[in-house]
Amino acid sequence: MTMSAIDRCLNQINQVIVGKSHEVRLAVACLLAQGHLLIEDIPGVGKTTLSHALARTLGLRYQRIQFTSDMLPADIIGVAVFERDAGTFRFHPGPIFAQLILADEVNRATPKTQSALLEAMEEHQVTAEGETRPLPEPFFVIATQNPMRQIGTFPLPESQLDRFLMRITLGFPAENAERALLRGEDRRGMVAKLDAALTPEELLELQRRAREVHIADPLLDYVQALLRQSREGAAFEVGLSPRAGLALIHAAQAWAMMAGREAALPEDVQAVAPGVFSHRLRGAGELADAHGERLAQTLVAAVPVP
Amino acid sequence: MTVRAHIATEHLESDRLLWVLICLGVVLAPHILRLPVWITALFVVLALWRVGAAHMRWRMPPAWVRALFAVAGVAAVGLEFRAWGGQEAGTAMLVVMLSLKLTETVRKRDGMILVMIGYILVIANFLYSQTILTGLYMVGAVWLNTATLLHITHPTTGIAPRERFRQAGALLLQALPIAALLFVLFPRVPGPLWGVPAGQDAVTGLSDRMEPGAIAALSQSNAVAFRVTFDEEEPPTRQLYWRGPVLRSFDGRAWEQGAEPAPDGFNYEALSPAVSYEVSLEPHRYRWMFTLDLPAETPDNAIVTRAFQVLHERPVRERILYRMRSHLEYRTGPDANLFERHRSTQLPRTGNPRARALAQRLADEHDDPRALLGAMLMMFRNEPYFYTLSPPALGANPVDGFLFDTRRGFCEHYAGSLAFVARAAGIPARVVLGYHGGELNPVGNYLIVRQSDAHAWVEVYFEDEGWVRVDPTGAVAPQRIERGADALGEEEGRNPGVMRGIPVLNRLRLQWDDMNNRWNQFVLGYDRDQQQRLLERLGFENADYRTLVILLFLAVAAAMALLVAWLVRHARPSRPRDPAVRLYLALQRRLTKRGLAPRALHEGPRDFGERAAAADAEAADAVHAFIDAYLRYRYGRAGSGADLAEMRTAVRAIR
Repeated sequence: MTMSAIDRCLNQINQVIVGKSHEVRLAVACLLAQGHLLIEDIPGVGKTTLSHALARTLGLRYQRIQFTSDMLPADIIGVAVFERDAGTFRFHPGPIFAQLILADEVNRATPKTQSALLEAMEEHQVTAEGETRPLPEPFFVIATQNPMRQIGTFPLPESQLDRFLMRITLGFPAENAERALLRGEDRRGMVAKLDAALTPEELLELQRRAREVHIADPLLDYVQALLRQSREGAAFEVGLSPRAGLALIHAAQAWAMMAGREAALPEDVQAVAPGVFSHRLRGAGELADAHGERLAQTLVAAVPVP
Repeated sequence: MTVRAHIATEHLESDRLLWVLICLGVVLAPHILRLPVWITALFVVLALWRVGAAHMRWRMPPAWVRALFAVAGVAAVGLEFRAWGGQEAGTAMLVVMLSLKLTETVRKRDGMILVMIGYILVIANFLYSQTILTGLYMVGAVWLNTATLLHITHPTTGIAPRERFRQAGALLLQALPIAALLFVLFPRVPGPLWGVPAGQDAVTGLSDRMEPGAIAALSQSNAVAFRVTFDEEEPPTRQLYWRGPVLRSFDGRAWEQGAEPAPDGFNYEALSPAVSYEVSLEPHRYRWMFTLDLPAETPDNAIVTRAFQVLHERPVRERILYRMRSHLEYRTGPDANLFERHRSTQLPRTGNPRARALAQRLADEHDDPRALLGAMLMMFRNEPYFYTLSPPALGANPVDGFLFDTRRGFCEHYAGSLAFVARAAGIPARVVLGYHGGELNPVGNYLIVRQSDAHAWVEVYFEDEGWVRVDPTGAVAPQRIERGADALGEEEGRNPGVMRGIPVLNRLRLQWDDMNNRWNQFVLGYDRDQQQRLLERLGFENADYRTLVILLFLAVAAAMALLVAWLVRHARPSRPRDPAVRLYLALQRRLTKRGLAPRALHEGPRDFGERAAAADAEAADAVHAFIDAYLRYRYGRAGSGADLAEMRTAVRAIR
């Protein structure tokens, strides 16, 4: 059941996002590893389409929040309104009370609003009007952001970037994929027609199974070697944290499960490493301006597989 | 891409370039004062330009410009030094070429070359200075160089500074045993290891001429003249007369040495047992070697004259170490050398009339020369004569001026005038220069004798007893003779140096001197003789160069073998303990032999297997079987012996 379920998901999304099967696979792995996903790219390459397709395919109750600079935390969390009939304040939940949040252009909101979202991501609960309210389970955030340093953007600080399990980029489509895009029907329309490929129970089951994927000692050696290299190599400003190592292992587990394996391999680690490391590494020296994915590749290339 | 190809072609990034420049700066810093200004400027300008070029992406100058620069550089060094070789011109040439190399430093290989030249400059610096501090600085420079070399040759990311220095430190520590062996066993040529003539800079010390004020001027200097280690307890200060040049001829103002009589053995009567000691003498550009009155043996490469002066075969231009024995109480007996006695009564025909009159009067009063000298010493003691470090200047008749007018003088005034009066009264007398006393360093239990301990005394000749030491300073300033020169300084209210006042600092000062002494004796002073002695103790009699070279070779080979054995054992097990990994390596070897490109370090086993299977259809099945078993065994939940057997079969299947 499960294998075909995963393939069904992937196939369905790949029909909408053409020629990006690896990125789509990474995105699905990220969600199966119970992590939040950040998609960073220039406008018009399909960030929002991908996130919508993911939401519909996984069969989750989702809300889309378009972030703007004049947004307030209450716009996300909700607000208490006085009801004359009842004579009391009643809490009107905001869009964040959903299983999947599509946070569009998250770096356009002010830090205050960002941190409201990010707190919710970390704690799976929000605090409003002095009362703490739990968020539904499962709870995911797929955030998109624009890489350009535009006026009126507030780049997410490292500590908050760290809450995303992965950051992926889509990039321009290949020639023939772009051709299909140009010729094909409207993507938004296609997304709207997508059916859920998973039930929420199936999704939870997949997540549970991902965590059970075996991690052997040699693989832990390898993960530690990667972390060590990031700290000892001169190419990086700061080394990777243990949390980054944990994220790498969870992502590799999900990736291995998606490939139908019961144990994770070094190749699984290598496959997810660019996504997991790209927003956690900062280059030094010659690599100071390099993109995170290039940094991650440099790191992987520098560490021998045991 | 192999590491070598990588270094040859890879671009030297600005971070690594910066480290190379820091290295060169550190290495060059001690040379700067010695180099002509334009060379330092050349290096600084080109280094800054190179950094600018890296940031602004300026182009490197074309080859013909660089060639022109090189020719101009060689010519400029030639003009500056009138030579292209030798210590100074050679160093300058190296620095100029190094600076010009910056204009074509683009690849990692160029960076490596620069750092290598840096090592040579470190060695060059030792030609100029061999102190402990220089040694420490240069160890630091070598450390930095090595760390930088590691950084620039690292194939991918480079190494973070801390880690880099740790690794370089480990490398240097590993090299230490071999360096020590080379130091001990490398064949020495006679002369110091750093056999470079001493520079032209002035050396403070006794000269072979004594004018009023000469020694007083010297007494300001804290420089070490020599250090002495006694075999037994050191004699009391009043007996520590370190004999230097003997001055016989007086020209009315200055005392000079005159020709030394030939050696004539040690025919004097010793009245006390000999004391043995070892002297480490600082270079002073004269031949004399200081010994306690009177020497009892002839050191190597030296002679002892009839006037008991010990002379080295050549001027002492580098630190020398010699063993000596002396009898502190003695009786020389009649001197058979009539000429020496005769010339010890000679005075200029005129000058210093009042002193001559005094001598005449004393001679009339006293028949016995001993009584005459006693009267003279009484005069110094009882009349207002002062012993001072800052005597007033004297006019045309210095003896008269001192004896009758100023009455203030340092040891040379007293010794000179006493010798003058004795001679005028017909008693043979000569002046002996040297040092008196010294400071005992309790840290290393040796005596430091400084220039401030310089002293002059008189020897007079009595027909029955021979040459007898008479020290007029003892009459006027007995504390100088009992306690040494420091006692005098204290009395005159002169600050003996801030450090001596504070016990902790004083102890530090003495410890530092002790370290220097050891460094001099055991590191810089390690010459052919010491080497021979050490080898004899190890059981190699009369080791010639041949033996040394063989020993050196064997010892270094043994050290290398030990090091390699240790590395094999500890650093990286060459044979992995996991049998699966061993089989994996065997598989790789077999596939590589069949023409497969070797596994890149970061290539995972599954990727490797797929690549191998795709490239080598014949072996594809075995490779698949192997990789499946390998992944099960190593990464799976339950690896078993069956997997290992499967791997073994698969490896065997590939021929």
